[in-house]
Amino acid sequence: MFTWSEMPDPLPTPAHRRWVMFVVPCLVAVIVYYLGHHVAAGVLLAVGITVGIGTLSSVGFARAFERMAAFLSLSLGTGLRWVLLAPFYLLFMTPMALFNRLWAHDPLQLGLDKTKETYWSTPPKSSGYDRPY
Amino acid sequence: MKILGISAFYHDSAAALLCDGELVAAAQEERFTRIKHDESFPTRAAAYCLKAGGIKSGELDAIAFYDKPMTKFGRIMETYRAVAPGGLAGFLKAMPVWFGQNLWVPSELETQLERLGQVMPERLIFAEHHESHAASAFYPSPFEEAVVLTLDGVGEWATSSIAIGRGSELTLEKELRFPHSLGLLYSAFTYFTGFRVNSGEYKLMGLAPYGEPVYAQKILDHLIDLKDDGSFRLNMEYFGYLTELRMTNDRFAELFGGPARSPESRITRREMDLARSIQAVTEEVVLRIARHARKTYGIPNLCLAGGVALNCVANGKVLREQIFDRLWIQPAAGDAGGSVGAAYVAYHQSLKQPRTVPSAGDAMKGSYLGPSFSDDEIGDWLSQCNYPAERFDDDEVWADQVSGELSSSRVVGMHQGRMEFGPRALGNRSILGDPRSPEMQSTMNLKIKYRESFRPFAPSCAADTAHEYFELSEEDESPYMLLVAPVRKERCVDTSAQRDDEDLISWVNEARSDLPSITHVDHSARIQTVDEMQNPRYYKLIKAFGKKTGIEVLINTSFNVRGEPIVCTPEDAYRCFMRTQMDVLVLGSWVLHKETQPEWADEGDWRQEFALD
Repeated sequence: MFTWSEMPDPLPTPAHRRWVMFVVPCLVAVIVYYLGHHVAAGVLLAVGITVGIGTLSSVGFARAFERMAAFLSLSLGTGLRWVLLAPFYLLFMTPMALFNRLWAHDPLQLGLDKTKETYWSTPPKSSGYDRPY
Repeated sequence: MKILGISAFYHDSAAALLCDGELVAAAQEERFTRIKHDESFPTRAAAYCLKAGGIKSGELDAIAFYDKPMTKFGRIMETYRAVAPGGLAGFLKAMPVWFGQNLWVPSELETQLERLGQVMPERLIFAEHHESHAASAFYPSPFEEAVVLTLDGVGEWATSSIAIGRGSELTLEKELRFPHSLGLLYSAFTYFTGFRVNSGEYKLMGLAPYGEPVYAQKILDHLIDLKDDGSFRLNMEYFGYLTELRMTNDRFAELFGGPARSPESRITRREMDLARSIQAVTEEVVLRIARHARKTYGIPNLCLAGGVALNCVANGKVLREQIFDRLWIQPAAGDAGGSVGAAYVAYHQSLKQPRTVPSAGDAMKGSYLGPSFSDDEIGDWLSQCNYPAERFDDDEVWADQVSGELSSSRVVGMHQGRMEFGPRALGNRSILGDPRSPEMQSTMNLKIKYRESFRPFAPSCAADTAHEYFELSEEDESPYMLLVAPVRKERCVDTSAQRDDEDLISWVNEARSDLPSITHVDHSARIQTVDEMQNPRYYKLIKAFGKKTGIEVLINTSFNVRGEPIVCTPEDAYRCFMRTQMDVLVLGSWVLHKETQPEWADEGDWRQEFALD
């Protein structure tokens, strides 16, 4: 029987993720240093070391840093989707859709057919259980 | 062989654990995170399942995921390829979620398992969405052979399917494909009548009896091309979900005489009639599919799953039409149940393990698959917090005490035993009341649940006497509150003559039977039959209430307020008890009275904690 004392605790951030939080800014600092931006590299290294010590010594800090990183990446993603995804949609998907319509191709089978007796179809053969497709 | 089933990333994420073919534990993530319909990876639910099963690191044989994410992604891309340049807003919203998370399910699983101190097992199994639903309906059912209908919004491509289950084999025979979906049709009306999609569908069902099916023919003429065998296509010219961030479009609004109702605004006759009309069409579709399946396959047993299978009014129609001899519905018929289905697919279909049909009842264990809390633990917590309570270790005395409170028209919060899996509270995380009081429905709706006053309450009754109150045969069972049946005629009163059709409140307060609080305006009730074997304590309570009042029926509604997930822990229960006008709280063998509790103070308005559903 599952008891109260066994309720799941708040989840710790996995160790490898905390190491990543430390190593990535330091690596970027090294690259920036070799590109000749020594001040920027110094700042990055300082940030990397601070984050590294914080995340490796405190799960709470690691969690807070993860939340902040997630918020920043979400904000960045929100902006980038207009820059990257909208042109892709308009320049790549839209012409394909227009060609479909031009040749009366109906991939979603949107048309109604009053003469048909049934809309049931046979499911496609499964690719098996080991694949996510 | 130990298999962890997971459903996630759409809505109602959940985890389930199957050990050697036995369903050991299952829970929805929302109960732990307290976020209604939580879609995030069910880490806490999985942690609970693994602990409940005593699974140590390396002991899991397989993980089963409830759908095929890449196929689903393919469907989404194909849809945009068909409708572009329309659909841009949806594309921009969907893609970051897919690229950020949904496409990387295997690595997400590995990361989350690592958080739980587990290593990834060798086998990672992906079932198809409708196969998971079908498996969740067939494998735990009491049938050796059955037709399995799954009806929901959409999975990969399928929106409805017919499968045949025989022994340990389950074969998908037919399907209807996106965008033609009964679930999405119902959701479109949910949206149009001002309720939240994927959450407010049951409100629409509850509203339906107040209306007339005046729009049913219009729906059949314009929105859906329905064939005799129940297959159909939707006329997508009226729907917005392919190209816009809304379910219906302006043409749909024009067809039904004006724009969609704003959420939380007054419900008018039009919404009531729309609700009744779409309910009638849904029932017609389900009945035609059921008749077609019976005629085609000749199998006398039917299993149902998928979100539409939570439409208990339609289920009741299928039962009463006697198209099939026996009917079994998965209690977690929505996406949460996909975790159970995926685990069963892995066990029987992928790993080819044999199936044993339960000798009595089904394999869902009454859906009591969640965490429980011992009386000693609750006692320790109560004394730590200085909450006064009385303990009744003898079940008979306990039942007598609690039924006494109920028969004095006091409202009781009931928290005992293992938490239910699925959307229904079945007596272990329930708010209970006396069904004889005509005011109880609006009192419980407005002062305890803080929800719309029109919404009906369900009755729990002892399985052996249910037929005395409802139009059921002595053999009919509804252990999971998934069937609607009429209250017996001799108990009903015709109140239509003095009714003000426009005033919902006056309808609600009518004494429609000698069980007014659980009798809906059409004299129906969503019944839970309680079996002594399945939930002995709850059964004893109903019997004790019967001894005091002559009525072996209780009002049973889920233990939460509007927008809140059903309570999980005693702390959740106590918090909900103190925030509402409940009179008595039962925590296992402990009984707490509101008037003896210390004053409860929340910081700010606690109602802001939960988004309205």
